[in-house]
Amino acid sequence: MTKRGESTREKIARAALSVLIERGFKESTISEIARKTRVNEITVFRHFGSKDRLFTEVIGKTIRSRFESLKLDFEPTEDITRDLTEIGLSLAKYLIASANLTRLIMLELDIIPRDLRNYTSNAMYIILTSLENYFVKAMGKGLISKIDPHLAAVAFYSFFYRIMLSYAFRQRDLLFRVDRVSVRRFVILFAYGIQKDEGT
Amino acid sequence: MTTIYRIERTKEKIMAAAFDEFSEHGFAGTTTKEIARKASVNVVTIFRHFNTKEGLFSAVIEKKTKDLMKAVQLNLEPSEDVVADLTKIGISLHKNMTSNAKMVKLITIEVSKHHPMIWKPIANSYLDSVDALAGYFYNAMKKGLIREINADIAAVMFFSFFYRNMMSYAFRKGDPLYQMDRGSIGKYVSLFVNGFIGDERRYDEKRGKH
Repeated sequence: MTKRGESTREKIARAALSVLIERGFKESTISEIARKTRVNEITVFRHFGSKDRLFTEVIGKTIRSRFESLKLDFEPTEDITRDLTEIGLSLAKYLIASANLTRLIMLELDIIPRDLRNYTSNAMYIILTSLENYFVKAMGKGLISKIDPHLAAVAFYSFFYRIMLSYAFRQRDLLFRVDRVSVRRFVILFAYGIQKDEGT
Repeated sequence: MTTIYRIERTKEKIMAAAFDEFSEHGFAGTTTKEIARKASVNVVTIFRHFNTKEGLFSAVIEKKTKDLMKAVQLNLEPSEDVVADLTKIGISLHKNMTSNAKMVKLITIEVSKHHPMIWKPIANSYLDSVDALAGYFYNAMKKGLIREINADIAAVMFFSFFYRNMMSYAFRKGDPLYQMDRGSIGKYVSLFVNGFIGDERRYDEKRGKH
């Protein structure tokens, strides 16, 4: 009984997400979601209460599960560029996967439920804090020179944020191809700067 | 002559008021009545010049994208002082982008869903900025002012920092992550130029230690 209820709930959630991404928040209707799930509208309401609550739960869950696959709590090693390449790849993967939802939230910022809006900005703050922690720890270990960890985190994040928005609105990015080799190139530039190395 | 001048002035006044209203309330939420009130003209005047609300909207977007194209012309010849150059470039990039933030939001919300082509002028103006930056890094390398780097990635990286800030302004009316001013842009440039992995001894020599 519970299991059956759960699977209906999951089916509704999956349908809700696909309707939402296709139509946007305003144009999405419970009746279309019900039709897609082959259940009665009443069933949808019984499970989720309202359109707002349905979407808040569905999107929240999606963002949370994607977020869990994001590896950010890196302990700095001697090989800073390798660490940051891994972090960058993981971040890029997460942000590109979230591009659709981000577009949705940006396009309907004024009408979507507040909780929904908060999900993405909370994710951003967690990412920023984790990046900052990495730089603080690396400084503590004497692996990098003294920098403003917040500034470094914002700069690192900004690079991948632009890529994400490019995917959100144009489904691709003309300026940077995300793969291990390119991300590593970016990281080396980020870590070493552009100044001439007088020593060599 | 004076009549044509007056007509152009009126059209400009209407378009300026329309831009403010569309940015604030979106296409659907904006009324021609309110635009007329803000521009101190009669509603009939708006329809005489632009036929419909849609016509006015297109005219506004077209004009604003033209302005944008004009604005993003960076003249970037490297001097001996790369930090000073990049700080100057950063400041103008920042000014440029934040002054267009309102329009970027308007276009993102109202038009990108239905007319993806409208993105083209904006996307192109950004590509031009990134190209200009890459040219700067390339020339600085040629002059031996910076080390051998990938100029394209450096350009995208520098640009992205200001782009995220602009988008935050466009959609949140502020940036909770980084306050941009001459000093903080200088700090970013210093991180960008020096990085954080370097020969410690070299840093000490620069500071006159040892």
